[in-house]
Amino acid sequence: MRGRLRAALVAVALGGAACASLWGALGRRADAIKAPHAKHVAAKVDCLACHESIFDAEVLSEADLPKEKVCLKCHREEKEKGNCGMCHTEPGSPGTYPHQERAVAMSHAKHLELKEVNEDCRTCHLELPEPARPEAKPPMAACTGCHQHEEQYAAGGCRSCHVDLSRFALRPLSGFSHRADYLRAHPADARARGAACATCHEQTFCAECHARTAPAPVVALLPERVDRLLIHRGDFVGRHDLEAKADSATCARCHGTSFCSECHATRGLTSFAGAPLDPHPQGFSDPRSAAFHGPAARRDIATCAACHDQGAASTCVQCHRVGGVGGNPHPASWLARHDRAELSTNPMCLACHP
Amino acid sequence: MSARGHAVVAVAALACAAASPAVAGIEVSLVSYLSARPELRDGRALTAAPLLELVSVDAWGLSAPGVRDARVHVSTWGALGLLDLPQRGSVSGDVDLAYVEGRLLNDQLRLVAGRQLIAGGAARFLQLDGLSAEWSPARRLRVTAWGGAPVSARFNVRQGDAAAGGRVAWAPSWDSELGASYALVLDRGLVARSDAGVDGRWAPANALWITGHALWSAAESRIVEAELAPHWRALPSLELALSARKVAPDLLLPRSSILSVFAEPERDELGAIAVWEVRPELAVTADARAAWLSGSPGSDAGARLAAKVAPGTLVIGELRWLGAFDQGGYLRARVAASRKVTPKLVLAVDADAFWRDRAVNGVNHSAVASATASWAFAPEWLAVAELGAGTTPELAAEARGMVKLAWRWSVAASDRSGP
Repeated sequence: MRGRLRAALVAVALGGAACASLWGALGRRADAIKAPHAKHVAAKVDCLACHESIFDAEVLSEADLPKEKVCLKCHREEKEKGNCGMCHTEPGSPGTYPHQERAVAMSHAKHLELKEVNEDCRTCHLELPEPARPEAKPPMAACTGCHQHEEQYAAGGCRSCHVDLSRFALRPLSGFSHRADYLRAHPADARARGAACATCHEQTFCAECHARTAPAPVVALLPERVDRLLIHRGDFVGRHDLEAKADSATCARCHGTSFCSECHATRGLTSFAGAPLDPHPQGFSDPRSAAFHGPAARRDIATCAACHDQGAASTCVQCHRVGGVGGNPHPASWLARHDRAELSTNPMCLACHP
Repeated sequence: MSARGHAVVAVAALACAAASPAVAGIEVSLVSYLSARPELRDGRALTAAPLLELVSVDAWGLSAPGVRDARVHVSTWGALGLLDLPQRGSVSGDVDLAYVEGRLLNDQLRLVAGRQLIAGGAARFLQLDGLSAEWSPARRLRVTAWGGAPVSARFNVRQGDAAAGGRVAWAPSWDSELGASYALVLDRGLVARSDAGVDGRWAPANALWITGHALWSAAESRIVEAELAPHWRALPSLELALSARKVAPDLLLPRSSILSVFAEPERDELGAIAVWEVRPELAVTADARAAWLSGSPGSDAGARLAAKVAPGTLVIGELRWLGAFDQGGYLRARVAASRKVTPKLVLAVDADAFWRDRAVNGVNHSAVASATASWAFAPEWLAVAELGAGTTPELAAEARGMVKLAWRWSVAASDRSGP
């Protein structure tokens, strides 16, 4: 207990130090600036009047957005009146433009020189930002309308334009359709073409569901995402026995063999915990019963392993060890692939073959 | 958290702190999560109220000589048990991911060191404390190798003591790849897994692609699993898929398990899926599968409808039927909806019910429902509250609640400039 507390404090301290250091290094966030382009266009203000530096801009950057002094050329009177809300979304604490992560490698300088563009911003900027619609950026079709991207697409060369796709939620590429039952289908794509997945998804995305160390099922952590296809929705506890019997192998991939017994023991649902809620049917130990455990174990040993995998201390060993009342448990085909020499080389065999 | 977990988080946090002045960008995410829900303990319903704190730090573009795209990532969490469970006041925590990544040798070599997820081929999504390397000696050829110590799951489920493996892959195009792989896992000195596999994705046309894989247990000389699934986009709005799958469930148990010597069952499955986007705002999915577990038949089928009935409003309906071989089955129905009331406020409701063939505790049905509100009350901040209630075979009546506060902050240092 004290060790865990100490560990938690160390983790918090280290995390805090890292965050504080990074915070200090990167500075604080700014508020947003209103940009009513329609009004400026109606007033016949030329793009160049506010965006002069964009003609030399080689990369996308807030540095090339109009500085306050540019706005004050026309709106100084408003500032002197204290009408900060005219431009600032947070007039109480006015700042500069909010940071926008650079998503595309794009040179305005080179584009504006092109004869197809001819310094006409509307070639790409089909829609201009407004205060109510600040995210009006040129659509990808505006790019592909001029450039030929077949070769980059075939080679997976998205990064020739996209700086890093992994932090942006994009619609899946048609070649990797995420429609249909992609919850079931995605392992095949991840297994065979993980590099394509990694173009948009980092490990962190996979870890939401696949990290065995996760503190809770993702469905519990993201209740607001009712649209996501998730396995453990609703009262999964109330139906998990049927799901496990229908496909125990799928459960075992993530939950291993002792997950079930740990949880059942905690809830007092095991016979050895002394609770009356034994999951086995009547007659499970009676060879004359139709519910005898032998055929059930032959058919679905993974379900047995979910609770009874304690190595040499397993309840199975008590009856099925050499000389025990349970007899030889090995299936015939198993015996065909293993010879008696293993008895001396495999320590696990000693549990039943002392 | 294990001693190994302490070491992993300490090294990663120190690396993060030391590297901070040189990063090109950073993203920090903090999520505080408090829930209260009933849980059954020895036949009594008690209230579990875990307080969770999830911390994630991602720094990219670190400057290091000879290394491109260097990155440090840490995802970790801590939990405090509250209220009246036996573990009240208990403190727990773990590290999900903590790795340093970088590209070397003119981007030909990508190295990842630390706690990471290994995917692809025979690895079967192994969470590992170790090292992975991906080398691209030629444009379409990629060689991956990894090794380390598997990470234990929650409830201390063992995954083995050591693991190593690799994959060789040839990708003739962006959406096609053929790979051969191997994975070895040792547990207490015994071979827990020794699997060799082939996998592939082939897209002969834009509207047709086929995925498949097969995994062979070298320790048992049997097929662990194999699957073949062709997908065909018959129309831009209609997608069809078939799948044939074969699994030996006992071979998914570690070979070091005593239960691995008792049986050799086989599970075969055939399935089909169709999705039809009737209109851009309306999609219908239907799927069905038939399965045989050592000859005993089972099946499941379902349908899903997702409709954007108005801008910002999504309605989902689901129906599923499962027949778990001769163990009975269930019929399940779900209705969910979400509505963006304002750009910052989203409300959602979710109702989920099922009816079992065979009763549990004398009850053959379950119904749970919840309502959720998500409010992005400030840039980078999100608050979520959920209230739920229901009746289940475990509890005649249950109520639960959850509040979550999330903060995600990111900035690219190279863009740190303004008017």
